[in-house]
Amino acid sequence: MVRVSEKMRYDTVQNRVEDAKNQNMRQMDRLSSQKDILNLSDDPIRAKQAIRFRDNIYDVTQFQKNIEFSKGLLERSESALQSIGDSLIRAKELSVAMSNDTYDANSRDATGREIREIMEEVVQLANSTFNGRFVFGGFRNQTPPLNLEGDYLGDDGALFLQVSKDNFRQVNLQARNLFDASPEDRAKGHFGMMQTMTVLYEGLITNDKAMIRRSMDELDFQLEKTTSFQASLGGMWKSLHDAGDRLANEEVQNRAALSKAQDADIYDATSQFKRTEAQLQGTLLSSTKMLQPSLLNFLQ
Amino acid sequence: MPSLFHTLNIGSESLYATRQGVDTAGHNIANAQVAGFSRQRINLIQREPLQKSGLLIGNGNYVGSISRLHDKFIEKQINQARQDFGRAAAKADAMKQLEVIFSPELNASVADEMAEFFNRMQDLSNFPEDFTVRTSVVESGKNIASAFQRIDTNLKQNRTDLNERVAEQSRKLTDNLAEIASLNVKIQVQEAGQKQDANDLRDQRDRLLQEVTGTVDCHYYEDKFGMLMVRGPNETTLVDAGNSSIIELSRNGDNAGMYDVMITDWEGNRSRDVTSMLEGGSLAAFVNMRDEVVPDLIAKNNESAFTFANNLNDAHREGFGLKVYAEARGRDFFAIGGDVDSAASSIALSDAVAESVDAISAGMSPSAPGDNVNLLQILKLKDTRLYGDDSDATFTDFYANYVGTLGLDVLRASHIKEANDIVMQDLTKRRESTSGVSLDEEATNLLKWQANFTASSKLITTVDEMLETVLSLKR
Repeated sequence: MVRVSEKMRYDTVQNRVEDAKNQNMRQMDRLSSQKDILNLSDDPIRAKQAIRFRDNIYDVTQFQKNIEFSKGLLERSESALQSIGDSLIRAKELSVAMSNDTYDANSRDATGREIREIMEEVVQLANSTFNGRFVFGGFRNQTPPLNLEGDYLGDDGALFLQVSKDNFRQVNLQARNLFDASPEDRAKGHFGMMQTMTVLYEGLITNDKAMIRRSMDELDFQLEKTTSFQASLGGMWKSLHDAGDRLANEEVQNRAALSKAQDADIYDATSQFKRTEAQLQGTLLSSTKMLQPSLLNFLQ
Repeated sequence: MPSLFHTLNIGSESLYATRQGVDTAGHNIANAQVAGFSRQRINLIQREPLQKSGLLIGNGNYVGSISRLHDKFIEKQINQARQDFGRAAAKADAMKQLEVIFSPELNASVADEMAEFFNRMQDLSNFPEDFTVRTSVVESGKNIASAFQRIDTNLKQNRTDLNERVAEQSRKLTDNLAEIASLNVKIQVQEAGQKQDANDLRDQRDRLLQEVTGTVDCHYYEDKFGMLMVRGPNETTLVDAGNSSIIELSRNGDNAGMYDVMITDWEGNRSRDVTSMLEGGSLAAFVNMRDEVVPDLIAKNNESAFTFANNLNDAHREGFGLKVYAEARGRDFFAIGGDVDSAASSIALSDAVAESVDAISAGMSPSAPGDNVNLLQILKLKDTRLYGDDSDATFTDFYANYVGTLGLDVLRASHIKEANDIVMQDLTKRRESTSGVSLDEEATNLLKWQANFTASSKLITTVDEMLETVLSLKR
C-alpha cells in the first residue's frame, strides 16, 4: 500500500488537469486552423511532404500561366496568318483574272491599286502585335519586322517557355522564311512574299502580262508556305493545350496530396474535440471531489 | 517506593512529550506544501527504570529525538535522474524555439520565396521586355535575400539567447553551490555533539542539491561530519565542506565570442575549462544546442544561399540586358561575398540590378528585347541538383530535408523529455510517499497527542489530589 501525501494528491490532480487541458487545446488548434501540422514536430514526415507538394503546386500554376499566355500568342499569330492567306488568295484571283486578255490597261491599273492595298494589309498583318510585342519579330519584338519593300527586320529568335519540369516548348514562329525567301528557295528562283506581290503590282500598272503570269505561280508558292506555317502553329497550339490539360490534372492531384499531408480531418477533429472536452470536464469534476475531504474537516 | 513527586514528574514529562508531539504535527501541517520538506516524527524513549526494593519501576519517557522520514536511496536515484531530466527538458524547450523559425505556418519561408522568385522569372520569360515584370523579379529577388537573412538573424539571435542561458545557469549554479557550502557549515555546527540530525537544514540542502543535479552532471557523498562533498564534470570539485567552486565564464574568440564554462576553486586557482565535457543537466543541453545544433542550421542556410546565388550569377553573367545593358554581359544578379560562412547575412541584389531593372540579363543575343533564352537557363536551376555535400539535391529537396530533420529532432527531444518526465514523476511519487505530509495522518496524530495530553494532565491532578489527601492526614 502506498502512503498518499498531500503533495502527491495535489500534484496528481495538477498533472491530470494539465494533461487533459493540453489534449483539449491540441484538438481546438486542429479545429480552428483546420490543419494537422502546425509545427514541424507535429509530424516531420508529412511536413516535409507538404513542402514538396506546395512547391509542385507553385510550379504547376506557373506552367499553366505560361501555357495560357502562349496559347494567346499562338492564336494571335494564327489569325494573322489566316488573314495573310486570305489576302494572298485574293491577289491570286485578281492575277488570274487580269492575265486574261479581256481586260485593258485601265482595269489592270485599277487592280494594281487594289494589289497595293492588299500589300499594305499584309505588311500590317505581318506586324501584328500581342500584348505590345510584334509576334513575327523573333526577339526583335519591339520594332515592326516587315516593311512594304519586303525586308524582314526581325531575327530568328525562338521563344521557349517552360510547360513542365524539364520541358521547354517553342511558342512562336521563326518567320524569316515565311516573309523572305530562304537561300535554297532563292536558288530555285523563288522570291519573298512582298517581292512576289510587287512583281504582280508592277506587272499590272505597266500592263505587262508576262510579269503577271510569273507572279501567279509565285503566289501559289507563297500561299502554300503560309498554309504550312499555319499548320505548324496549329500543331504547337494543340500540344500546348494537351500539356495544359495534363497540368490541370496534376494540379488537382497535388492539391489533394497537399491537403492529405497537412489538413485536418474535420469530422475526426470535431469528435476528438468533443471527447477531450468531456475528458477535461470529468477530470475537473473528479479533482474537486478528490481534493475536498480531509479528516480535519471532521474535527471539532 | 518512589515518592508521589516521582509520579508527578512522570506526568509533567509526559505533558512535555505530548506537547512536543502536537508541536511536530503542527510543524508538518505548516510545511505540508513546502517543496523538499520531509515530514518529521518525535521519537519517545522510555526512561531507565528505577530499582528500588527489588522492583524495577517504570520511569516515564522523554523525547529522544525528532527525525525526518527520508529515504536517501530514493534521493540518490532522483539526483541521478535529474541530470538526464534537466538535459532533456532544456533541450526540448530550446528545440521548440528553433522550430518556430522554420514553422510550416510561416508563408514567407525560404522555400516559398524561392518558388515565388522562379515564378517571377517564368513571368519574365513570357515578357522579357516588360518593365513591370522586371520590377517584380527584382522585388522577389529582394524578398528571397531577406528570407535568407531572416533565418540567419533568427538563428544567430537564438544562439545568443542560448549563450545567455548558459551564463544564467552558470551563475545560478555558483549561487547554489555557495549555499550548499554554507548549509554544510550550519549543519555541522547544529549537529555537533548531538545525536540528532538538523532536519530542516538538511531538507533545504537536499532541495538545493536537486537544483544542482538538474543543471550539471555531478556525484556526491557525505563526509563523517555530515557535510556534503560534490564533484562535477571531469572530477572537478564543486563543493568541499564549507568551500564551493565558482563557475566562471570567459568569452571564446574562436567560437563567435560565446562563453566557455570554467570551474575555478575557492582559492581562485586551477581554473578548468569544462565546456566540452558537460554531459548531464540543462547546462550540457544549452551548450550542445549552442555549439552544435544551431551552428549546423546556420551552416545549412549559408550553404543554400551561397549555392543559389553563385549558380544564379553564373547563369546570369552569360546574358544581355536591355537599353544600356543591351550590348553588355557579365553582370551578377546577386551580390554575395566569397565566404560561404557569411553568405546568408551578406546576400543582396548586385549594384547593377538594384540600380536598374534593365540590368536583368534575359537574352542570349545582344539588342534583342524579346530574347528569353538566358532565362531558360536560369529557370533550369530550380530543378537542377546543386545542393548538398554531393550536389545531389534540388533546393526544395535540400530545404525539405534539413527542415524535416530538424522536425524529427524536435520530436525526438520532446519524446525523450516525456520519458524522463515519467521517470521523475514516479521517483517524486515514491519520495513523497515516504517523506510527504498527509493531513489525515497529522489530524490523527493531533487527536492522539491531544488525548495523551488530557490523560497526562489527569495524572497530574490525580497526584495533586493524592498529595492533598496525604497532607490532610495531619490536622
